[in-house]
Amino acid sequence: MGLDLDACISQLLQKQLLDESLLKEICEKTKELLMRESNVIHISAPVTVVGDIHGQFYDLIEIFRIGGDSVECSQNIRLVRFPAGDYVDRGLFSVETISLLTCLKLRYPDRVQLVRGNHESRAVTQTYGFYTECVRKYGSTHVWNYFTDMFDFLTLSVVIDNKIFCVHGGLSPSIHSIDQIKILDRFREIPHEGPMADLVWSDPDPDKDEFAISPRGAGYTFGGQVVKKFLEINQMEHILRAHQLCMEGFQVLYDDRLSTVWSAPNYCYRCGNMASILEVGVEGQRFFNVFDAAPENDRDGPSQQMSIDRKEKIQYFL
Amino acid sequence: MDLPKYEKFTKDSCQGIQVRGWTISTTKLPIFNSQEIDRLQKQISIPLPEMFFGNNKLQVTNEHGMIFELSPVDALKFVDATREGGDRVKVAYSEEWNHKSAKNHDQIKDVVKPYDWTYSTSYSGTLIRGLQDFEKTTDRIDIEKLKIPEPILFYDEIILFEDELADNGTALLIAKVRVMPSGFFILQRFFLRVDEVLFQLNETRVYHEFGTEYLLREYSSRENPYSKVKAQISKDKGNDISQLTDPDWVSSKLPKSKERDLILEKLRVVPLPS
Repeated sequence: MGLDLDACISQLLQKQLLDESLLKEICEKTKELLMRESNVIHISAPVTVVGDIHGQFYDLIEIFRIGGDSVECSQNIRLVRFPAGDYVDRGLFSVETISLLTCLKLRYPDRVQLVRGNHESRAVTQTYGFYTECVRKYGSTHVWNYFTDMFDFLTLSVVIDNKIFCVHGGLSPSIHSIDQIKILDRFREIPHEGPMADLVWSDPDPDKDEFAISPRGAGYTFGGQVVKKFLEINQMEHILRAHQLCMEGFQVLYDDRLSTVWSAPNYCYRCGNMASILEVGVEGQRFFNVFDAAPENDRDGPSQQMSIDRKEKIQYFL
Repeated sequence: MDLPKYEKFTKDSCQGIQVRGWTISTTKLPIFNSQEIDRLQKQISIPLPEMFFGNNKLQVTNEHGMIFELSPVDALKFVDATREGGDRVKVAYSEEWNHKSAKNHDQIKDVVKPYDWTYSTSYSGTLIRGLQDFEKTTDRIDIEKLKIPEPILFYDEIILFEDELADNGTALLIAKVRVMPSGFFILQRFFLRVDEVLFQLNETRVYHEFGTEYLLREYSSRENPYSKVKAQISKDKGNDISQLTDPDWVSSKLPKSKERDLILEKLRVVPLPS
């Protein structure tokens, strides 16, 4: 019997986990699909761009709600959605989140684009939550293996109407032209060094003009002139990225040449920040749709996940 | 022990308790917004941690006018903002990164102004107003007494800041407080994990037993290489390195502080008899 994706999507919308064997098949099929995609995917507006979600499942559902299309009635997904990486880690429901996004990608391959973030990696998910969550929910590492193998195939960037360049982190000193991204070998774990690492990791520095080396001893920040030059060379107008938490849910820099979109409200269930999705219209107009944490987080959040026993024990810290 | 008379209160984002002439409260608010960041950035020369809860605080006051606080902004002032601070720790793959990236660096000479990017802080609280200053002591906090399961009249936890160090670990500063019939106890903990490099815990404990004249403060800083802590994950846990993200677990695996490395202080909290 074939894979019934609509049934999988309905099940996930109820926040019910899919069977391990089903996830194996879904990840395999998604890999085949992603393998055919370029490192730079060209799409046209109208588009909704989504930033980091980090396993905040209820807020992902909220995004579908405020974005104006109902996933319940799957026929109605009318916009091309483009979540810009960091689907997993930190939140409580990374498995549900990435399962749903993967099913949507497979069901609507041209309407949903998933771009790789720095958390779509084996190394990072082992310490920031996704690995542990997979083991807790499935009793083994199999599901983590299926997903992290699939992550190796995610694309690196999207270009909207030849005007807006979208990437998870930012620019790289080894990449001047978008054609240089197209020839990268992306089917691998994210390396520590090189253009692929820079694309998912680097941050803008509003006080700088050029590239600078991070005080951590690895990685770059990029300044206003770098952005200007990149846009000129590639005849584009704007760079859109995610990757950085901001209280307001978005941030616009360098005379409107670059924006950050952040889509995990009340990050880690305690930051109290707003989140946004960016709606790009057919004329290229950009609108940040700002939203707050979904109410469901209050009755199915960290406080409910913690046992009464543990709560009492915590109070007797030494 | 009989329960003392006490009153709990909540006002906006502040909650606390009044008991035996003391008021102990916590304030919990969202992370700084961009205006607040810009304003503080003018006074503090290092970039703020990515999750900076600048409006949170834990405050202790008493009927004699003493005010003691744990403040995120003050905690940042104890982070080393010098080049030496920046050189203290580098990420695990720094050398390899620099070697491989060298070909790009003919053009890139600029290093973001070095500072201790791990946000390691030796902050142990701010005495906003005191009858006297903290003084050295040999008196110790009686941990055995704190192990007695007295009723907890008030408990809370605040976060001061957190940074994921661009996926190279965690720097986390939190504070917990509990108030019992016999006194109150505060633990502020700076927890640092730099993957494949090191762990560090800087802990401040503050204790006052109701009816005594002093408040005691103990500060300790402990660290150990990452590999030594990781080696203590029990074999049956296999690959599961998630314990390395649990400050309590890591704390139990770090070497105990030597007595001479502790900073022991006391603070007079009632006026001297005239």
